[in-house]
Amino acid sequence: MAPDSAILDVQGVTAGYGGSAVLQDLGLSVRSGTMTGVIGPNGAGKSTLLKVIVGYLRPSQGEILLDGVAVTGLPPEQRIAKGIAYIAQTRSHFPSQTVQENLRLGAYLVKDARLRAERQNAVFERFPILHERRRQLAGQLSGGEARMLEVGRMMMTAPRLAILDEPSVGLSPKLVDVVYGHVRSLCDQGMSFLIVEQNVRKLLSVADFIYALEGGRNRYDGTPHDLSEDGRLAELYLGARG
Amino acid sequence: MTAPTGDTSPADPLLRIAGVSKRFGGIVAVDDISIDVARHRLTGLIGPNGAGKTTLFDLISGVSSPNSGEVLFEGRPIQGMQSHAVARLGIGRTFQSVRVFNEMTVRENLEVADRNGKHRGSQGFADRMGGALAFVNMTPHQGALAGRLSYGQRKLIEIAMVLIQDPKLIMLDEPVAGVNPKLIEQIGELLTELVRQRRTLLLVEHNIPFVTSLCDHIIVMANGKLLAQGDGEQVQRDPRVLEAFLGT
Amino acid sequence: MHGASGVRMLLDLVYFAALGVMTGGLYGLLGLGLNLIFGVMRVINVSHGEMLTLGAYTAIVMGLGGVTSPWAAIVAAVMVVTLIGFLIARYLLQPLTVESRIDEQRGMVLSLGLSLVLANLVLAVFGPEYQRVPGKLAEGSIVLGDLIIEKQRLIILIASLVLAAALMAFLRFTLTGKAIRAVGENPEAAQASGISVRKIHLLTFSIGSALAGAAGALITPATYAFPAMGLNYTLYAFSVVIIGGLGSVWGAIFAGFLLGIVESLSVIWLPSGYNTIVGPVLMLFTLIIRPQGLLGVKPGRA
Repeated sequence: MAPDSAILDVQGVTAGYGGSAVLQDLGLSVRSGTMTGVIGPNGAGKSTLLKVIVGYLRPSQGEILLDGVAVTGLPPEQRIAKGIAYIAQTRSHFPSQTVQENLRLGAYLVKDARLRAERQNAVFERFPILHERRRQLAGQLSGGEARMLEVGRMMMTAPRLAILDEPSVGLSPKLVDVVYGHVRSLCDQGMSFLIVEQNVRKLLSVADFIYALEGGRNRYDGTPHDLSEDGRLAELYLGARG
Repeated sequence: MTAPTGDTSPADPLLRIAGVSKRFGGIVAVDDISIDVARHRLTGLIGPNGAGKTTLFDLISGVSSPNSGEVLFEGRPIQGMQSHAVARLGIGRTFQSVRVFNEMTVRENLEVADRNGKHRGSQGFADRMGGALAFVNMTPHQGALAGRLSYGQRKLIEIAMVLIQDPKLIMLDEPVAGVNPKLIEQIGELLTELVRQRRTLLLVEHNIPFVTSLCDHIIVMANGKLLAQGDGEQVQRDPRVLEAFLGT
Repeated sequence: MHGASGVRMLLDLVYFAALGVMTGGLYGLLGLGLNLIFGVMRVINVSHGEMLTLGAYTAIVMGLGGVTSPWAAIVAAVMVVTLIGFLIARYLLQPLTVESRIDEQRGMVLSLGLSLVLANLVLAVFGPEYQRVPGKLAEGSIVLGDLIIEKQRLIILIASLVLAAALMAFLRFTLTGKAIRAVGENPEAAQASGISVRKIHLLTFSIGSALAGAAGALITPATYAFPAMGLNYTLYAFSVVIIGGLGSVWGAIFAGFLLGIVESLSVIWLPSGYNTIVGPVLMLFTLIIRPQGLLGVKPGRA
C-alpha cells in the first residue's frame, strides 16, 4: 500500500438509533499521517459518525475500512487492538482509579511489560504533571489535566489512528491550544487523527483536511483554506447563500 | 441592528421579556435578557449550545421562575406563575424531546391536551380534534397508538396537541430536530400557515437554515446574553453570529 | 432503675450484639456481591439469594453423596454456582445487552423470573423439607462468662470476611479487577482501552454468583436448607446495599454488621419471627433520612 494511502475509509454509511437514520450514505477517509477534521452544525451526526467508526454503533449500511480491511462487524476492543484509539467528549477516563492505573488500563491489550514501561515514560515525558500526580485519583484532576490523562491513556496503545470527539470541550482557550499542540506534535510523529469539533475556528487552524456534514450527509470537503472561502461556513451554519 | 431592542420593537408585543436573569449556582444561564415577541409573527430564537435558549423557554412557560426581571404576557406579569396557569392564559409549548403518551391513541393524547387547555375538555372536543389533526395531516391516524407512529409523526401530533389548546402564543422547542428533510419542509409550511391564521409563534431551533428561511424576526443568544436580533439576512450577515456558532 | 437489672440488661445487649456480628459478616458479603453486579452490569439481581440456595443445595447433594467435609462442600458449591452464574450471564443477560449496556429494567425482570424458576426447580427436585448436612465446620462453643458463641458461627464470620477481603483485594490490585471497576465506571472508555465489556460482564456475574454460592454452603452446616431460603437472603442483600449505599464497598460491610446487630437486638423487644422485618425497616429509615445510603455518594451529574 502506498505511504500516503488512507488509514481509514468510511464508505456509504447509514446509521442511527431506533429506526431514524442520523447518518445517510456518508463517506470520508483519513490519509495516513494527517489530521482530518469533521465539522457541521448541531445534529449533523458528527458524534454518531465517530461511534460508528469506533464500533459502539453498527451501521445499517456501508463499510468501515481500516488499512483497506473491513472492520464493520468488529466490537470496539478489537478495533482498538488493530490500532484505533478513541477519546470521548467528556470523562473518557476512570475517575475513581489513580492516574497510573488509568494508564495501565489504557495498555490493557499490551502484554509486553517493557513496551508498557516505555510508553508510560513517553506519556510522563510529554505530560510531567501526570507523573507528579500519578498516585492521585483521576477524579481529582482539573479539566485540562484530565484531558491530558486521556491523551496519555490513548498513547499507551500506540495507536495509528486517534479519534477525538470535541477535545476542546470545557477547556479554556489557553488549554485548547495546549491540547492541540500535543495533538499536532503526535501527528507529526506519525499518528493520524480524526477530530470532531464545535470549535470550528480552532480545528480549521490546525487540521490538514476538513469534512463538513449537514443533516447526516456529506456537504463539503476540502482544505481548511477552501472551506473558509466564499462564505461557505456561513452557508453551512446559518443557511446564508454566499 | 446594533441596538438589541431598537426600532424593531413593536408597540404592543404579545410577550415582553424585560431584564430577565436566571442563575443556577454560579452559572448565569440567562443574563439580563430583554426581548419582545410581536403578535402574528414567527420569531426564532437561536444560539450555540449552552446559550440559554431552553432556559429562557422554561422561564416563559412557567417551568422555572427568573431570579430577576419580568415576563409580560399581554402586558401582564406572569413570571413565577405555575406552568399550568401559564398554559391557561394562552401559552402553549412543545418540548425538545417528544412528550406524547406512547401507550395512548392519538385521540386520547389530544383529549389529555384539550383538558389542560382553555376549553378544559368542554363540549366540541371532536370538532377541535378534527381541526387540529386535519391541520397537521394526521386525520387518518386518529385511532393509532402514538407509540406506533414514526418519530416525525409524533412531532406532528405534539404540534396538534398544542393547537387544540388554542393558545395565543405557540412555543416550539426544536420542532424539526431529528426530522427528515421532507417533513422539515412540511413543518415549515405548517408554521407559516399558522402565522397566516394570525397566531404568534416563538421557536427554538438548532437548524439555523430552517430558522433564517422561515422566521420574520430572529433573536440570537450566546452565553446567556442577547447577541443580536433582526431578520434572517441581517442575522446571516452579522459576523458575530457566525463566530458564535463557530465556537470562538 | 435497679443496678443489678441495669447490668443484666447491658449484658443482654452485648450478648445479642455479638450474635449479630456473627451473622452481619455474611449479610455484608451478600450485599457486596449484589453491589458488584449492579455496579458493573447495572443489573438489579433479584435472583442473588437463589445463588445462595444453589450453593446450599450443592452442599446437601455432597452430603447425600457421602462427603462429610463442609470445606469440600464449599469448594464444590463455588464451582457449581460459578458455572451456573456464567451460563445465566452468557445465555440470558448477554442477549439483553445493547451498545455495551444491559437494559436495566429487562435485566431486573429477567432476574426476578429467574429467582422464581430456580426456587421452584429446587422445590421440584429436593422437595419442601428442611435439610441439613452431616458435617459441622467446628464443634463446640467459646464461652466468655455469659457469652456463649458457637465456634461454627465464628468460622462463618471469619470466612465471610476473608471472602469479602479477597474480593476487595482482587478488585483493587489485579489488572482484571481494575478492568472490572473500569467497566463499572465508564464502559465506553473501558472499551476504548481495549477491554471487552462482554467478557467482564460474564466474569463479574460469575464472581458475584460464586460468592453467594459460597455463602450458601458456608451457612448450611449451622442451619438448614429449604427451597425458598433465597428470598430472605435477597432481602438482606438489598437492605445491606441500600443502607450502606449503592456502589459502596465499605458501606456494604458496615451495613451488614449494622443489620446483623440490630436484627439480633430486636429479639429482645420483638416477638420471635419478626426479625425479618428489621432489614426492610432499616432500609426505609435510610431511604427517608439519607437516600444515598450511609456511606453512599449523593448522585451528582449523570
